Amino acid sequence: MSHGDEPRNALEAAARLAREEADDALSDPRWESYTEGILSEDERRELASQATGSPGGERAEELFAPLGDEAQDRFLAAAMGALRAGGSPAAVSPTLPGDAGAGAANDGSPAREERPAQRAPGGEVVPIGVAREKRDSRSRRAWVMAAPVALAAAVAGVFFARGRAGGPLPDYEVSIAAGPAATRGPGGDTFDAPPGAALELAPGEGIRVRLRPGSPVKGPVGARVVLVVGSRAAVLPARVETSGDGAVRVRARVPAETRPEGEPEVWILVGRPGDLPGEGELATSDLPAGSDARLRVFKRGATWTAPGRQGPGGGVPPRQRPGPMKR
Amino acid sequence: MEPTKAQVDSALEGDEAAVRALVATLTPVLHARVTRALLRRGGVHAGSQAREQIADMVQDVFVELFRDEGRALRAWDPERGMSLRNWVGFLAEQRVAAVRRGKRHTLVLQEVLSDDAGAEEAPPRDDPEALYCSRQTLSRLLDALRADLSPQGFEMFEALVIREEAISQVCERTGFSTSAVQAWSSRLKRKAAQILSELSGPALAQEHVA
Repeated sequence: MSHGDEPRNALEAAARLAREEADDALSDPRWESYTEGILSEDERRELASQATGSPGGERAEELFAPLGDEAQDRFLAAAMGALRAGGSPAAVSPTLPGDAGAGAANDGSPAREERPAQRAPGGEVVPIGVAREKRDSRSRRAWVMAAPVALAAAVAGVFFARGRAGGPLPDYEVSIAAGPAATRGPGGDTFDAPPGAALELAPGEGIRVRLRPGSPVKGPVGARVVLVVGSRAAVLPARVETSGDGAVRVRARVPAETRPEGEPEVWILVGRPGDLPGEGELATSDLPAGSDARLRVFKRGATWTAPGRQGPGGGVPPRQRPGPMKR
Repeated sequence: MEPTKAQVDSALEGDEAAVRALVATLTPVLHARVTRALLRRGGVHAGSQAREQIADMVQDVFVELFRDEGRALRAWDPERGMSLRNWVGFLAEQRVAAVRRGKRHTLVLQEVLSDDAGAEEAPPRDDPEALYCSRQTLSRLLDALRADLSPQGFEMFEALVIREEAISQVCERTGFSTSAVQAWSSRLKRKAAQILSELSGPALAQEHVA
């Protein structure tokens, strides 16, 4: 059946419905950007307008709005609770699809029999796949910065496939803080650092950035926080909030698995969404050499420190409070 | 940033900072998929309760992802080509569909074929009656497929039925054998018949899927 033909049976008719849904306004990937809080006011309005004709679309703008920190804390508590509750995976599901080699055909077909269990050193019976997963996970603790930059080639093209949404950007004033306060508390909003102070970074802890445009900005704006060590770089996971006039707040986090080695730098990129790099690891040579009218680049020296050591009482110690960013 | 398998493993070993990072990364995609699934099927509560309903459902998915030592997250294998965001996004849609059907079962991560599953069935005959299958019935069939198929199973549904890829094309793209893809094709037809049987009676199911 070609897509334009009538379906011959209900399965094909259901497939046609699935195709229609994939093309409808609710499938626009920008909704996910909106839930992440990285969509500009203009794009949000455009999305909401497009969704109006879809079933339930009139409520989309309200319901896709970011859930907020309180909800996220709730999810974290629920996840930790589920994790701590434990339970033997062998008792729940003897067949884990993470390992097709045991019990499942290597040709990709679904398993035809349950994976055989093996006895763990402690006498616990666990599926073979689980035992191997646990062993592998320990040997893979070292994080991305230590791994080959396999994704670099894939990400490299991002800077050159620039979108055209929005015009030139004004200069930005950048404030940045790092450490426990930037992770957890309102103290992270203190940005009155002496000029030139190095950021103190620690695996698992936060970086908070505030970007203020020299003049109001029209159109979508986004930001990235990039951790650079030598020739390697990684775009950090971040929550980005933008205001209608182009101001940006970013809360990023250094992944807990990061190996604190080398001399780190933090690069802040603010630009039009099509000009920003995607997520993941990349080589420094893939980063823009400097600012241009559509992408501003700010660099800040940093040092590694132990988690939780950045300041007494959760405050931001003077040494790490930010000064002007170099360009 | 797309989380790596190592980051997921750290979280599953109980590293709270890693769990926090994973929750922060996955919340937007779960929120978006849950909201979209509920909006499409008119399943959203009225008024201010709707956002709470969505947050509850997202929380429910997080519990499913981390329960039983993170069985659902351990089942994600990046080498199979699906990103973690897509993996958990699919499981979120599966969860919503299951709850909408009144089936609060655990997530379906993998399916088991019977011994005769590799045998190819006859291609579906033309069935003009299918044109009269109501949109509501088709929505329910689609939701039930989402609820009952594993991520890999639904991927096969997308490839073979939605995108209508040839079996040889699917084999080439996925590395699966011809008999494995044929097994999936047969399974999808049987599954659809079984669901329609539940929805509208056995006779109608045979009429629409055979």
